[in-house]
Amino acid sequence: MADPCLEFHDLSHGWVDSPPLFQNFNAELEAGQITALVGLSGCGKSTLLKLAAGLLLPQAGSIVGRYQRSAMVFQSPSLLPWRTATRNTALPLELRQHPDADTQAQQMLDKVGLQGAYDKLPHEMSGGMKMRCAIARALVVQPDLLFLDEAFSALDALTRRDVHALFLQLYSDLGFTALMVTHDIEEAVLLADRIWVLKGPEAATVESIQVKMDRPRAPSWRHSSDFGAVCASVESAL
Amino acid sequence: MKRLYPLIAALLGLAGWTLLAQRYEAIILPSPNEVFRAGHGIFGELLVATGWTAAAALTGLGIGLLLACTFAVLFVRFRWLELALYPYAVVLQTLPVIAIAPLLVIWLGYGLGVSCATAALVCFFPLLTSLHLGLTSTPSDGVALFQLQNASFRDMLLKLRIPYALPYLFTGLRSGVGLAVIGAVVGEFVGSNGSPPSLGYLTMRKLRSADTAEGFALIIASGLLALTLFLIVRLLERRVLSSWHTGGAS
Amino acid sequence: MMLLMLLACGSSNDDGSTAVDPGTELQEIRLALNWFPEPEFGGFYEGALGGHYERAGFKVEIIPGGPGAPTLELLGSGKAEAAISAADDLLIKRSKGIRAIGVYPAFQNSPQGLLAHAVTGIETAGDIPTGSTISIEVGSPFQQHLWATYSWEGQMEAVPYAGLVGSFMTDESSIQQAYITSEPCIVRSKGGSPVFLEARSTGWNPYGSLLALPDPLPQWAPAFVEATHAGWEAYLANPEKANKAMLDANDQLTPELMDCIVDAQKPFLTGEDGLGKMTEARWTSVNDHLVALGLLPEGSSTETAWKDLLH
Repeated sequence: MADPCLEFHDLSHGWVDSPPLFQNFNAELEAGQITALVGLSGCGKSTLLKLAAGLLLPQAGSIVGRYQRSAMVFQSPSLLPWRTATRNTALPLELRQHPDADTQAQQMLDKVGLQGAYDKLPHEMSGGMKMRCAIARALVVQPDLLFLDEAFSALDALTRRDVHALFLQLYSDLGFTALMVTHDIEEAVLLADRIWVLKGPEAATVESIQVKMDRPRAPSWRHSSDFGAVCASVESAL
Repeated sequence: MKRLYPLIAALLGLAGWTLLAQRYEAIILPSPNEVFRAGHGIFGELLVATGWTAAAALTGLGIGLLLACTFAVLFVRFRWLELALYPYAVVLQTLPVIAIAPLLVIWLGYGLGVSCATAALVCFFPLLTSLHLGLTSTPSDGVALFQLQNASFRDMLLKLRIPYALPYLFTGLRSGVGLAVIGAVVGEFVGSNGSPPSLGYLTMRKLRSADTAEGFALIIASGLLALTLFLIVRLLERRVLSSWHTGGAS
Repeated sequence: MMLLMLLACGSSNDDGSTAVDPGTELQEIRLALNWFPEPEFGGFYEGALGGHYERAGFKVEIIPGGPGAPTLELLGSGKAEAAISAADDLLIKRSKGIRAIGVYPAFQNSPQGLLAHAVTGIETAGDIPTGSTISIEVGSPFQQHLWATYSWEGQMEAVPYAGLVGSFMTDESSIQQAYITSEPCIVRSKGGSPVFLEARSTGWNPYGSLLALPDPLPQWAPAFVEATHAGWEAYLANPEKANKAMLDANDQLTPELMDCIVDAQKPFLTGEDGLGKMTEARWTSVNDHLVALGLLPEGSSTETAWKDLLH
């Protein structure tokens, strides 16, 4: 088996003057898999994601990363309001001084179904379109590791379904490693291969639940009984 | 119909002024009619003076803006510098122009330089604050996005922080323009010898010689200058920021 | 318009004054006035326009001033070669470190004073009723002298003088500081009847429109003073040319106003000792007054403050 993409060693972190969010957290992120991080509100899953991405420095412990490029999709699309869809998507490539950033950006926009929106500005796009654009922006650098911070939670139910389908499609086409934070158990079960359940504060261990379902998955799977069973086991773990 | 509101307000104001002026000698409070005629009488002078004051105000604004940008960026880059110097920046704005102007005359000699300096002095701090606020109010998601791509300070500044700071900058400019005009006029009022013939200088001369109506006309000219510059800023703002706003501009 | 400049163009020696050979470069002098271009500087303008300065080898650029014009400071910082001041101002600035020497007084008697409405019957400063509000440059030597001399502390209210004649015009009881060369004539032109209380009558008489040069005196100083005196004599004889130049430079002046000012200031220019004279007694008197008011340190002397280069 390949080396884990990301390793957490005895990670401890918390805010000043409050009890730590987690202590001595140990885990390994498998390459090529989608791992979901679920937990109750305030349990520190977003913080854990930020630590994993290198945006925060842990108070204790370490994180070992074996990847070259990472990208993140945020809860709000966070597109730069003055740039078109193409220019927004091209931004990470531009920052890395890639030539042909715009061309590659447009190819990515095609993949996410925004082929007609190259020159649209964010305020001219719907919520769903903006989210697709944000995903395109994240994937355009061909990241080894993709972080998603409650990326789909701000979408309405119908749009979310479409974006889920898109996400699954992209995963089967591109095959990236992903660590996604979500509070929606069904979403976690639908999209991920593995679910880490953070239990309350001071979660020292994480319960890891395997989602045994073949790929490529279809959203229709949610209506099956296996789906329900996995969800139940996640819920009981919480 | 809503567009007429400012016009209606102006007319009401003029009416009130006319009534009030009837209670006073022309030498103390001239009526709008007298002021208008006086202004018409010195119209050529008034235009030239407005031109010079505008030049001083705009140059001063430019200097203030340049300094504000420089220091705002430095403060963002070097936090220790911000902690050391920021408290003193406000002192610059509170320096009484009336006291400083003679010093400026001694250092720079009579001329446009004095009023440029006073204009810059007065508008620097508001521009600095608004710009600094803008640069430090960048949405954290955007910052994270750039950090994940290992963006350089320069890229983050030019492609992220500054564009996001523009609305704040324009807010600062809206008051900055007016302040620059005031700063220039006050500098001219106390630190000019008439060369070049500016609004502040002429106003001072007219009021001293009890040509109150002319003095008022010049004061109104200053106000109109500030208003014009303000409207230009608003226009620029609409142009530059239009791509951000949904549909119609605010 | 505001900067009067003369071009070098030869000279003549027929009046026997110090002259310059044709072709020699003229000494450039920036003369800083301490007010707007008005007849109180008539002789200086005449000196420039009538060729007096030019014949003596000077190219004079007159730099007009206004309220608070820092003429001695400009001299001190090298931004002017000659400055117009007043004897009291010179002594005080010297004590603060400005290196300047008074060399020619255009006004024998100080043009400063107080203005009141004639209808009040006030004839001297002592006539001013207690409790009056006096609009004056608060803190100035003249103001402090008045308060000390007439014991006005707590009796009279001093309000800062904004230079606005308008409020004087509408209030018959108002009293404000004035210069014979300015406010009285302006008030008359607006239809008022003012009475001017000379500073001299209150015991305060520093030389006015005093020409100051750098200390130590440059070697061109005597020639410059001679030319200045010639200019003033010419101006007293015939002010037309200089007046026209000042009219052009100062749009607040009208010919009527100018005539009023020229007439009003004449006696102040010549005084008793005659145009351009300076005496030890007069300088010492101002000096002693300033020391008594605490504006000059004890033991200050006027010995090196002035020099009569004419006689």
